[in-house]
Amino acid sequence: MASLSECARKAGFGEHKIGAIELAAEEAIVNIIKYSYAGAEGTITVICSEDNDKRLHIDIIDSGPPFNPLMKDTPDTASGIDDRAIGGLGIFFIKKMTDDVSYRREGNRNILSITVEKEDREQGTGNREQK
Amino acid sequence: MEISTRKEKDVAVVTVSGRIDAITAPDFEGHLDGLIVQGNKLILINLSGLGYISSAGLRSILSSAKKLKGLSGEIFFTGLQGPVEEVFQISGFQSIFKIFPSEGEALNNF
Repeated sequence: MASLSECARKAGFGEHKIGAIELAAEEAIVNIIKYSYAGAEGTITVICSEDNDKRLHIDIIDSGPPFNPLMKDTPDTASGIDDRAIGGLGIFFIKKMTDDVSYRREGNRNILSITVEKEDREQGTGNREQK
Repeated sequence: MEISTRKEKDVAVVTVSGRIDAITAPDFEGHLDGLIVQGNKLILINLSGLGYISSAGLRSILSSAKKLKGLSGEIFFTGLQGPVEEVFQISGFQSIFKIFPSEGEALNNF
Protein backbone atom coordinates (compact mmCIF):
# COMPACT_ATOMS: atom_id res chain seq x y z
CA MET A 1 0.00 0.00 0.00
CA ALA A 2 2.88 2.34 0.82
CA SER A 3 4.44 1.84 -2.62
CA LEU A 4 1.10 2.59 -4.27
CA SER A 5 0.89 5.91 -2.40
CA GLU A 6 4.48 6.59 -3.39
CA CYS A 7 3.60 5.95 -7.05
CA ALA A 8 0.70 8.42 -6.83
CA ARG A 9 2.86 10.97 -5.00
CA LYS A 10 5.59 10.75 -7.66
CA ALA A 11 2.94 11.29 -10.32
CA GLY A 12 2.03 14.55 -8.57
CA PHE A 13 -1.20 13.53 -6.87
CA GLY A 14 -2.20 15.47 -3.76
CA GLU A 15 -2.88 13.98 -0.33
CA HIS A 16 -6.65 13.95 -0.79
CA LYS A 17 -6.41 11.96 -4.03
CA ILE A 18 -3.79 9.65 -2.52
CA GLY A 19 -6.21 8.90 0.33
CA ALA A 20 -8.91 8.02 -2.22
CA ILE A 21 -6.47 5.78 -4.12
CA GLU A 22 -5.44 3.97 -0.93
CA LEU A 23 -9.07 3.44 -0.01
CA ALA A 24 -9.98 2.06 -3.45
CA ALA A 25 -6.97 -0.29 -3.40
CA GLU A 26 -7.69 -1.53 0.12
CA GLU A 27 -11.31 -2.25 -0.77
CA ALA A 28 -10.29 -4.12 -3.93
CA ILE A 29 -7.66 -6.19 -2.11
CA VAL A 30 -9.93 -7.05 0.84
CA ASN A 31 -12.55 -8.11 -1.67
CA ILE A 32 -10.16 -10.46 -3.44
CA ILE A 33 -9.05 -12.03 -0.14
CA LYS A 34 -12.67 -12.53 0.93
CA TYR A 35 -14.34 -13.64 -2.28
CA SER A 36 -11.86 -14.55 -5.00
CA TYR A 37 -9.38 -16.46 -2.82
CA ALA A 38 -12.04 -17.01 -0.14
CA GLY A 39 -9.53 -17.70 2.60
CA ALA A 40 -7.13 -19.77 0.44
CA GLU A 41 -3.62 -18.50 -0.13
CA GLY A 42 -2.89 -16.57 -3.29
CA THR A 43 -0.91 -13.73 -4.77
CA ILE A 44 -2.23 -10.26 -5.44
CA THR A 45 -0.27 -7.99 -7.76
CA VAL A 46 -0.75 -4.23 -7.87
CA ILE A 47 0.59 -2.33 -10.88
CA CYS A 48 0.61 1.44 -10.87
CA SER A 49 1.36 3.58 -13.92
CA GLU A 50 0.81 7.11 -15.10
CA ASP A 51 -0.26 8.16 -18.59
CA ASN A 52 0.41 11.37 -20.49
CA ASP A 53 -3.01 12.68 -19.63
CA LYS A 54 -2.53 13.18 -15.87
CA ARG A 55 -4.23 9.90 -15.06
CA LEU A 56 -3.08 7.13 -12.77
CA HIS A 57 -3.89 3.56 -13.78
CA ILE A 58 -3.92 0.88 -11.12
CA ASP A 59 -4.32 -2.78 -12.05
CA ILE A 60 -5.10 -5.17 -9.23
CA ILE A 61 -4.55 -8.75 -10.33
CA ASP A 62 -5.33 -12.10 -8.71
CA SER A 63 -5.35 -15.71 -9.89
CA GLY A 64 -8.53 -16.85 -8.15
CA PRO A 65 -11.59 -18.26 -9.91
CA PRO A 66 -13.39 -15.83 -12.23
CA PHE A 67 -14.98 -13.15 -10.07
CA ASN A 68 -16.30 -9.80 -11.18
CA PRO A 69 -16.70 -7.64 -8.06
CA LEU A 70 -18.47 -4.92 -10.03
CA MET A 71 -21.52 -7.18 -10.40
CA LYS A 72 -22.28 -6.78 -6.69
CA ASP A 73 -25.44 -4.90 -5.79
CA THR A 74 -25.18 -1.29 -4.74
CA PRO A 75 -25.82 -1.06 -1.01
CA ASP A 76 -28.83 0.85 0.28
CA THR A 77 -27.10 3.87 1.81
CA ALA A 78 -30.40 5.35 2.98
CA SER A 79 -31.46 2.60 5.40
CA GLY A 80 -31.23 3.02 9.19
CA ILE A 81 -29.13 1.12 11.75
CA ASP A 82 -31.54 -1.80 12.06
CA ASP A 83 -31.96 -2.45 8.34
CA ARG A 84 -28.44 -1.62 7.32
CA ALA A 85 -26.55 -4.64 6.05
CA ILE A 86 -23.12 -5.06 7.58
CA GLY A 87 -20.72 -4.82 4.65
CA GLY A 88 -21.20 -4.35 0.94
CA LEU A 89 -19.71 -0.86 0.90
CA GLY A 90 -16.24 -1.66 -0.42
CA ILE A 91 -16.96 -1.88 -4.14
CA PHE A 92 -19.33 1.08 -3.83
CA PHE A 93 -16.41 3.12 -2.41
CA ILE A 94 -14.15 2.13 -5.31
CA LYS A 95 -16.77 3.36 -7.78
CA LYS A 96 -17.36 6.59 -5.87
CA MET A 97 -13.74 7.50 -5.11
CA THR A 98 -12.24 6.87 -8.55
CA ASP A 99 -13.00 8.04 -12.08
CA ASP A 100 -13.27 4.68 -13.79
CA VAL A 101 -13.19 1.04 -12.80
CA SER A 102 -13.48 -2.02 -15.01
CA TYR A 103 -13.07 -5.77 -14.71
CA ARG A 104 -11.70 -8.27 -17.17
CA ARG A 105 -10.65 -11.92 -17.13
CA GLU A 106 -7.36 -12.68 -18.86
CA GLY A 107 -6.27 -16.30 -18.91
CA ASN A 108 -6.46 -17.45 -15.30
CA ARG A 109 -6.32 -13.96 -13.86
CA ASN A 110 -8.90 -11.45 -12.63
CA ILE A 111 -7.87 -7.90 -13.45
CA LEU A 112 -9.55 -4.89 -11.86
CA SER A 113 -8.44 -1.68 -13.56
CA ILE A 114 -8.90 1.59 -11.72
CA THR A 115 -8.32 5.03 -13.24
CA VAL A 116 -7.91 8.19 -11.17
CA GLU A 117 -7.65 11.66 -12.68
CA LYS A 118 -5.34 14.16 -11.09
CA GLU A 119 -7.94 16.90 -11.00
CA ASP A 120 -11.51 16.46 -9.84
CA ARG A 121 -13.84 16.39 -12.79
CA GLU A 122 -16.23 19.30 -13.02
CA GLN A 123 -19.45 18.50 -11.28
CA GLY A 124 -21.52 19.74 -14.19
CA THR A 125 -24.57 17.53 -14.33
CA GLY A 126 -25.82 17.87 -10.78
CA ASN A 127 -25.37 21.60 -10.46
CA ARG A 128 -27.22 23.01 -13.43
CA GLU A 129 -28.84 26.34 -12.92
CA GLN A 130 -32.35 26.05 -11.65
CA LYS A 131 -34.87 28.16 -13.50
CA MET B 1 -4.35 3.39 15.29
CA GLU B 2 -4.48 4.72 18.83
CA ILE B 3 -7.54 4.56 21.04
CA SER B 4 -8.16 6.26 24.36
CA THR B 5 -11.31 6.31 26.44
CA ARG B 6 -12.52 8.46 29.29
CA LYS B 7 -15.82 8.77 31.07
CA GLU B 8 -17.84 12.00 31.13
CA LYS B 9 -20.85 11.40 33.38
CA ASP B 10 -22.74 8.59 31.63
CA VAL B 11 -20.92 8.91 28.34
CA ALA B 12 -17.84 6.91 27.34
CA VAL B 13 -15.78 9.22 25.14
CA VAL B 14 -13.59 7.27 22.73
CA THR B 15 -10.86 9.18 20.91
CA VAL B 16 -9.35 7.29 17.98
CA SER B 17 -6.51 8.52 15.81
CA GLY B 18 -4.44 7.18 12.92
CA ARG B 19 -6.10 4.72 10.58
CA ILE B 20 -9.01 2.32 10.85
CA ASP B 21 -8.43 -0.10 7.99
CA ALA B 22 -8.94 -3.83 7.40
CA ILE B 23 -5.96 -4.54 9.68
CA THR B 24 -6.93 -2.34 12.64
CA ALA B 25 -10.76 -2.48 12.43
CA PRO B 26 -11.08 -5.72 14.48
CA ASP B 27 -9.15 -4.08 17.36
CA PHE B 28 -11.39 -1.04 17.20
CA GLU B 29 -14.51 -3.19 17.23
CA GLY B 30 -13.07 -5.20 20.12
CA HIS B 31 -12.53 -1.97 22.07
CA LEU B 32 -16.13 -0.82 21.47
CA ASP B 33 -17.50 -4.25 22.35
CA GLY B 34 -15.46 -4.17 25.57
CA LEU B 35 -17.14 -0.89 26.52
CA ILE B 36 -20.56 -2.36 25.73
CA VAL B 37 -19.85 -5.45 27.83
CA GLN B 38 -18.85 -3.17 30.74
CA GLY B 39 -22.35 -1.70 30.58
CA ASN B 40 -21.68 1.58 28.77
CA LYS B 41 -24.86 2.61 26.97
CA LEU B 42 -23.71 5.92 25.50
CA ILE B 43 -20.53 5.99 23.45
CA LEU B 44 -19.25 9.20 21.87
CA ILE B 45 -16.54 8.60 19.28
CA ASN B 46 -14.25 11.54 18.52
CA LEU B 47 -12.78 11.18 15.03
CA SER B 48 -10.91 14.49 14.86
CA GLY B 49 -7.51 12.73 14.81
CA LEU B 50 -8.49 10.01 12.36
CA GLY B 51 -6.85 10.27 8.95
CA TYR B 52 -8.33 7.25 7.21
CA ILE B 53 -11.25 4.86 7.48
CA SER B 54 -12.26 2.14 5.04
CA SER B 55 -15.41 0.03 4.76
CA ALA B 56 -13.88 -2.42 7.25
CA GLY B 57 -13.94 0.37 9.84
CA LEU B 58 -17.54 1.28 9.03
CA ARG B 59 -18.48 -2.39 9.33
CA SER B 60 -16.99 -2.48 12.85
CA ILE B 61 -18.85 0.67 13.86
CA LEU B 62 -22.15 -0.61 12.45
CA SER B 63 -21.73 -3.98 14.11
CA SER B 64 -21.11 -2.40 17.54
CA ALA B 65 -23.93 0.12 16.99
CA LYS B 66 -26.38 -2.70 16.27
CA LYS B 67 -25.35 -4.52 19.48
CA LEU B 68 -25.68 -1.34 21.52
CA LYS B 69 -29.04 -0.48 20.01
CA GLY B 70 -30.29 -3.90 21.06
CA LEU B 71 -29.42 -2.83 24.63
CA SER B 72 -31.17 0.55 24.20
CA GLY B 73 -27.82 2.32 23.91
CA GLU B 74 -26.35 4.53 21.22
CA ILE B 75 -23.12 5.41 19.47
CA PHE B 76 -22.69 8.98 18.28
CA PHE B 77 -19.88 10.99 16.76
CA THR B 78 -17.95 14.22 16.79
CA GLY B 79 -14.84 15.51 15.03
CA LEU B 80 -15.73 14.46 11.50
CA GLN B 81 -13.32 16.02 9.02
CA GLY B 82 -11.53 15.51 5.70
CA PRO B 83 -11.50 12.02 4.18
CA VAL B 84 -13.32 10.51 7.17
CA GLU B 85 -16.22 12.91 6.71
CA GLU B 86 -16.26 12.10 2.99
CA VAL B 87 -16.53 8.36 3.72
CA PHE B 88 -19.34 9.00 6.22
CA GLN B 89 -21.13 11.04 3.57
CA ILE B 90 -20.79 8.56 0.72
CA SER B 91 -21.84 5.60 2.88
CA GLY B 92 -24.88 7.37 4.30
CA PHE B 93 -23.46 6.96 7.84
CA GLN B 94 -23.86 10.70 8.27
CA SER B 95 -27.63 10.26 8.25
CA ILE B 96 -27.91 7.11 10.38
CA PHE B 97 -25.82 8.39 13.30
CA LYS B 98 -26.06 11.54 15.39
CA ILE B 99 -23.09 13.76 14.60
CA PHE B 100 -22.12 16.75 16.71
CA PRO B 101 -19.81 19.66 15.83
CA SER B 102 -17.91 19.37 19.14
CA GLU B 103 -17.49 17.10 22.17
CA GLY B 104 -19.04 19.77 24.36
CA GLU B 105 -22.20 19.96 22.27
CA ALA B 106 -22.44 16.19 22.15
CA LEU B 107 -22.11 15.86 25.94
CA ASN B 108 -24.64 18.63 26.57
CA ASN B 109 -27.15 16.58 24.64
CA PHE B 110 -27.22 13.86 27.32
